[in-house]
Formats: sequence, C-alpha cells, structure tokens
Amino acid sequence: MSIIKTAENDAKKKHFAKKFPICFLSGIINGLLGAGGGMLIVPTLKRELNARSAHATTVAIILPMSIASSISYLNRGRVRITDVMPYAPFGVIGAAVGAILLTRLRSKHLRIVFSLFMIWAGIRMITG
Amino acid sequence: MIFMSWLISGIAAFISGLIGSMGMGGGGVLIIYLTLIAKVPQSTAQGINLLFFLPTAALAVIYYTKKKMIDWRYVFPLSFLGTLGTVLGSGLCGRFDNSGLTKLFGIFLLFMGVVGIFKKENPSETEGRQTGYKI
Repeated sequence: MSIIKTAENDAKKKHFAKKFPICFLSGIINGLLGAGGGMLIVPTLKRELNARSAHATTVAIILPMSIASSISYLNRGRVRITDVMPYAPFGVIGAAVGAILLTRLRSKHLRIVFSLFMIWAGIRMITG
Repeated sequence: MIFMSWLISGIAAFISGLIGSMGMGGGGVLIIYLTLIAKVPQSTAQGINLLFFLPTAALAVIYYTKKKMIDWRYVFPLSFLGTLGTVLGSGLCGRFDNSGLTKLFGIFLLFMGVVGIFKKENPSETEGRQTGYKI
C-alpha cells in the first residue's frame, strides 16, 4: 500500500515540476511583451483544477509577475503612471463584470472569438 | 471626435479588463488597441498594459478569494518562478526597438490565436469538476 502511495506522490511531484518551465517562460513573456502569459498557465492548471479555478488561480499567479514587470518598465522610463489613467477606470469595471461572468458562463465561445481577433491583430502587426 | 476616441479607448479598456480577469490573456486587447489604433509606441503600450492589469487583477483576486476559487498551493511557487522570468524578460525587452517588439508581439498573438482555435474542449470545463491534489 505504502509503495503505491509513494509512487503516486512521486508522480504528483513530477507533474507539479512540469509547470515550472511553463511559468518561467510566461514570466519571460510577461516582462518581454507586457502581456500576462496567462494563456500558457491556464491549460497546465486545467489538468488538475476545474476550468474556473484554473482561470482564477492563473490571475493570482500573474499578479505578482506583472507587479515585478511594471516596476521594471517604470524604472526604465518606458511608461509613466499617468499614461494608464485614462484606461484604468474602464478596466476595473470590465474586470468586475468578467469576474461575475466567470462564475456563471462557459468561456468556449469567448475563446474562439478572442483567438480569431488575436490572429487578425497578429498578422497586422507582423506585416505592418 | 474627442468623445469618439475617448469612447473607443474606454471600450478597449473595458474588454481588456473583462477578458483579463477571466485569465484569458486579455492584455492582448489593450496592447492591440494602443499600437494599431492609438499609435502608441510598443514598449509604452506594453508598460500601460502591465500597469493597467494591476488594479483589475487585484480586484479579480479579491473576488475569487471570497468565492474560494483560487488554489493557493499553486500560486506561491509558480508566481515566484514567473517573477524570476520577468526579470529576464524585461531585460530582453531593452534589446529590441519598438518595431521589432511589435513584430515579436504579433508572432506571439498569431501563435496564441491558432492554439486557442484548435484547442480541444476540456470536459471539466462544463462540469466544474474539482480534482485538486495535495502536494
């Protein structure tokens, strides 16, 4: 019995360790491209958590990463606090609505629409 | 005209906050708006997006904590590693000019968009199954 349990624990630890490179990579993307990298973390968490918890936990993982990147961007003079003022209030309202929706809605359709939008924007940025 | 641009930037910010709080990488929306429509330099757009994410994410985290949706066993080790990654990432950012960064961001968007389209649907997505394990 104990041998089986030990093997199970080993497998779980290995599985947990697999997330390390993905989180490190999403940190690099967060600092390099200023975007969360959340889409990398969510799928790995979905293997053990339900979709809602995976999304919610991802936001909590990315928050400290974004704080670190923000400090670096501010220190290097790439952005000023005042630059974000026109957008922040609307973002907070959007986040509140998003948090409520996440507890109620499936996100499949939103994901497809968002993915198509990203492909369109990606092509424009590469060719522009 | 001023009202229109104010309205469009408000809508872009609202959608970014909405998608961002759902953990879907909504950061893309604001950066896309800032660079393609508002013509803000890429590195500034990225910085605005990072700062923008902080209050919205903090709000979302408070809400999810109350709803007990966050699994903190994952948060501490993974965010620590991710934060180490950001140091490397923001260092690398300084090696690109704005047009290079825009292209890099475009490649990232294209990749994530294609992955998002072809991703298989997870059955737990509809059931809300909780299968967390003890570390």
